Amino acid sequence: MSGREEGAVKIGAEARTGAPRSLGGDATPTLWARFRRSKGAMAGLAFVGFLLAAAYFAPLIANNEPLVIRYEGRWSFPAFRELPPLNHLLPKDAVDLRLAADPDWLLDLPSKPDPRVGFFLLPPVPYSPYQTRLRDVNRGPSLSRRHPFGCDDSGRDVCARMLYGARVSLLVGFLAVGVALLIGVAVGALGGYAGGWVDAVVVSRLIEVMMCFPTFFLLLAVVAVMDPRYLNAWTVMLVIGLTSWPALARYTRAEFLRLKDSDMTASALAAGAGPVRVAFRHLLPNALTPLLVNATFAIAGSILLESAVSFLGVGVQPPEPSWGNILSLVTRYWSAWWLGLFPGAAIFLSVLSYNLVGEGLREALDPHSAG
Amino acid sequence: MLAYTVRRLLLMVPTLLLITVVVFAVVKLAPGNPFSVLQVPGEGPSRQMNPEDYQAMLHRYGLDRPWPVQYWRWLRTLASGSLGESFSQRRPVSDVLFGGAERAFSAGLPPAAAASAFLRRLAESPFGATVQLNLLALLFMAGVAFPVGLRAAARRGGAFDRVSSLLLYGLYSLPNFWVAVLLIVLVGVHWRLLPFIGMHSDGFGAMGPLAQAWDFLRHATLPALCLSYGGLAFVARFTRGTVLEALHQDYVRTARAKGLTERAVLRRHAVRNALIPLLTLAGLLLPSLVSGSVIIEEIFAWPGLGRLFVQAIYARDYPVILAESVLGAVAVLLSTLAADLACAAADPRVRLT
Repeated sequence: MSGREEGAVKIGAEARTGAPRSLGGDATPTLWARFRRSKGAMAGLAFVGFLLAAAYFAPLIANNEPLVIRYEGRWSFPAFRELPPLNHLLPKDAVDLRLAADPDWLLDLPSKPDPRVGFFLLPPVPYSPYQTRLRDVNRGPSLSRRHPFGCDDSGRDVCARMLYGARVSLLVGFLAVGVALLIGVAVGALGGYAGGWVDAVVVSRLIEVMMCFPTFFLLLAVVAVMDPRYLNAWTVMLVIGLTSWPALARYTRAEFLRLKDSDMTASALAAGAGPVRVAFRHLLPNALTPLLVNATFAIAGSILLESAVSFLGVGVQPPEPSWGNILSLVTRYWSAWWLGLFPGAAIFLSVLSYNLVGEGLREALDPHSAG
Repeated sequence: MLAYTVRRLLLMVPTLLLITVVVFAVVKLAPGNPFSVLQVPGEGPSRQMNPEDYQAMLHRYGLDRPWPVQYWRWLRTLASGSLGESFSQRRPVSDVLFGGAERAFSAGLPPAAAASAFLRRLAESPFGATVQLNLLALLFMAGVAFPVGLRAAARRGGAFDRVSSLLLYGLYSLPNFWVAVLLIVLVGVHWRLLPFIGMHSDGFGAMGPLAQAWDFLRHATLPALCLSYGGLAFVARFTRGTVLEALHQDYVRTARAKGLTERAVLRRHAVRNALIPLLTLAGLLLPSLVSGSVIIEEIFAWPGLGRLFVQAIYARDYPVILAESVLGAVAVLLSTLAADLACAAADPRVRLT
């Protein structure tokens, strides 16, 4: 670690003599080079990539429909039906095969042969996330039955549900923070750039008041009064975004205040740029890099918030899967430890990953703050 | 100091008013009202509320009035101290939250007896349960985090610093509700070491004071642990940071130059000055403690404000939700104020800005 810090400081010293840092252009390679030095940050990034892949390919990993099947003399790929853009690239009749309604039909095929079926290949976890099976209620993890993480209280496969839950988690991270960034940057920019009474009376007070509310409390208050029929992954994301912007607004305001009196602003104004142009074309790009670090931490925070409200049963509603609502089942069946261990581990690892990436970004951007 | 205190208190008034506006707006802007859940289209008639009853309910709770009127009425209940009437329990929200403790003083008891009755009632109320749990969590946090942060700062970059920062960082990312679940499964269910439901065992009232304390501690250990470990990383890092900063100051160099031992430098010069920024920590920690209380109390069935909040959500008990949201924000505001005042008392320079 000490060797890394020395290197980072040296690079930082070089960077300081150059032009003011900016997101685009020639600063990017050094940023990446510095980021790459941190093993933790790279591991975090790798895990996020793994999650993205798992969430995208979920229909191919966990599905009760076969990846490929030769049925009545024709080849079909039913598992690809829910996977854009591949479902559009394959011929329509090749993915549109609807097999028998009984979900266990293909699993039971070795014992009950069917002359219409030739070769077929099921995904590694041959269950869909919504498929309930009485005989699997609260079944523990079993590799031979292809339930690696066990089953929940309705006999649904936990692994399949977690793969689809990863979609919710990733989307919450990016969309909620996207919404929070939009509001936070707008409010923070207004306060930081306009200054004067706009900042002192409106923006600063608003940020101060909003910071008084623990985000989780505010979020719960909103979902508490919402109609349950509106509660789904999308509204939860929106509400998290709408309640978690104050911290980002505060950072934006601070950055704008810092940059407002720089020579850069003066020269832009001297060249005839209007205040809106200065704020968004000159100040914002320069404020973006530090914001990026905070946005990364905010992603971790949003994932935690979503899983917490879903855990309490007021977030994403079953049967729609989310890591939080899978985990909450363990509080009803304390002996079903697999309902607690695996979804919780997924939440922990993704939160840790985003935090590590954020920490790596911070060190890469400002080597002097490290240590 | 007095002028500073008065100024800060006056500045709090508009902030408080804004807090009530935000809470009210949040609840009014969200789609739905307490009774719309009983009007679900597509549900069978047995689960529907008929339209006349629906209107009557809205009227009964004043929800059919224009929102400025509703806001004004709500402000009046806040000012009167009753905080409104709970929908589900049909008594003032202040009674629900504080157990009607203030009535101990109007019961005509001698002052000492009234005070003790007040404290006993408060301790048994949801507010008291939450305060007791959080105090225990804070105690645990301080007891572990200060020494760790101090030692990490004293040997910066050493093995202890690196290992502890890595461990604490991992702890910081651990979701507390997951840890709670794992602890219950392992310690409570599998090993049967500690109870994990509620605050007291059956027959608590019949126990002697020592047995009562022991029973409380056994019940509180797991939830307090879950509440505190997340802040552990924060406090330890903060301690380490402030002590490190103090170690860079000129007076520390002077102390070293005059030949004091490293131990004396650390204890007498660095730590004492690092304590001032540590005072602000209380204000920073409270929001996370309050948030953490909600989910941890719900998991451990701890009869505090957090559990009450979750139950109010399930029951769509608006007045309780509104009151607790305001209470949470006010608690954060007050703790920030207390931290600032403590800083001002410790460091006269703060008062001038």
